[in-house]
Amino acid sequence: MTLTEFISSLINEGKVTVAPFIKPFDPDDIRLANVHLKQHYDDDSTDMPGQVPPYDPEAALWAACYLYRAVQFIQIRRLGEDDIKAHLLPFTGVHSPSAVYAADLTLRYMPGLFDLAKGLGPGDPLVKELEIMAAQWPLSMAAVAAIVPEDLSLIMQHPSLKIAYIDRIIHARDFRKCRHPECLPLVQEALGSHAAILWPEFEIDLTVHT
Amino acid sequence: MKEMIIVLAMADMTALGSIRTWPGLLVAATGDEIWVRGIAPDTTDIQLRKLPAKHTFLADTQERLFLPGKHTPHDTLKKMSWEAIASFITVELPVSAMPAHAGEDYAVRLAPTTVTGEPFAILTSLEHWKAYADTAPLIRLQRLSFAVCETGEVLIIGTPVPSMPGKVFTLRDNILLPAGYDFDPPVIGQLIPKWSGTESDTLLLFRVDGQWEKIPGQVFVRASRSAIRLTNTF
Repeated sequence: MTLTEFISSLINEGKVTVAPFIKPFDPDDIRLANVHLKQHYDDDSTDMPGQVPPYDPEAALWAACYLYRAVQFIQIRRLGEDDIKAHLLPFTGVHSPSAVYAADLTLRYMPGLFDLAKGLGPGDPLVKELEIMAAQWPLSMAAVAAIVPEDLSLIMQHPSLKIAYIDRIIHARDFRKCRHPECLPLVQEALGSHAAILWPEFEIDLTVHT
Repeated sequence: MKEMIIVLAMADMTALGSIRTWPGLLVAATGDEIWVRGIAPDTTDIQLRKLPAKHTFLADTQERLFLPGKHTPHDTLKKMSWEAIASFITVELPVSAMPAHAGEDYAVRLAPTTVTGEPFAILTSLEHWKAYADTAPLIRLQRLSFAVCETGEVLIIGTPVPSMPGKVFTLRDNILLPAGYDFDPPVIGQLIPKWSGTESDTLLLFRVDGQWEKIPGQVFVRASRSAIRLTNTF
């Protein structure tokens, strides 16, 4: 499966297959993948709150390639730590709200990858690498309870990303993330005076913990 | 390659309405299929991708048909009677998404009441609804459905009722009553469902002046930011 097919299948069907070996992506495949990612950005932005950040093609492509390779490393267990370091490269562009949202177009599927990686040992180099990467992209990892972000500044400085993040941690019913000092007032604002209807357990939980 | 050609089932003909105004499109009906040609080969427009196409081909100048990504022809274009899409699909004036069936023979009266009920719906403008949805928390939107009529009025149902300018209604036995009002006399309310022959998923929306409308359940759409943003009146 090419990178373009991988992106298309991931977005449209939520399932993917990958090539059984690692080889560089074909330039024409990269070109088409860029077209698909931009189209997905346009489509997805209609469901995002407010005005989304401008498109960052570099971050979008990096994230798609990273996810593709990560799936490969889960599937092809004979590959070692050196291969992981050589192919799961961190994002080298500017970390900005634009990069956060563009990368999220595919990184939001990472929680499913963590489920796949559950079968691997906690000391597995792939698991370690994924955890390091995940900590840097908190918007996309909102649904992963085990990933507790330290720095939410890029998300909180952008109105659209801020609302989207609060939406996601409420949807995940993640008490821990919702009680984060930067998030708690926003979660309470989202629930308003209707917490008893919208999320009764959260209201009870706050009563206990505050 | 000079053009893209898509094939749809005849049953999906109305879906072509979304691309009816595209310049240069030609349409031909054959059997239970509709063929559409004249689409630029690199088109990625969302309106096109949303069409329920059975097949997509790329055609060269010799009218050979290629499957996307394939270099050998799949077939050749059969002779068909092509006509402009604008004449193939004629325009019908849109019916209201919130079709009104005004009561004509029954003079129902409403009067202010001190009995309070929980708000269940709000009648507002599309402009207010869009402004609300733009930044509303998802957990609130997900509990709502809405229907729009061609005048731009939007009826939003579900709880909690969103806070925005508009007329609030309470719900009782599929009847939406203006908040703070009841039938005069109240016992009329028990007779209305039977008298109106209302189906179980249909709401009866009463105005303060006693006018009412039947709103079938199928005209409501689940609220999502994209659904609200893409809603327009004609």
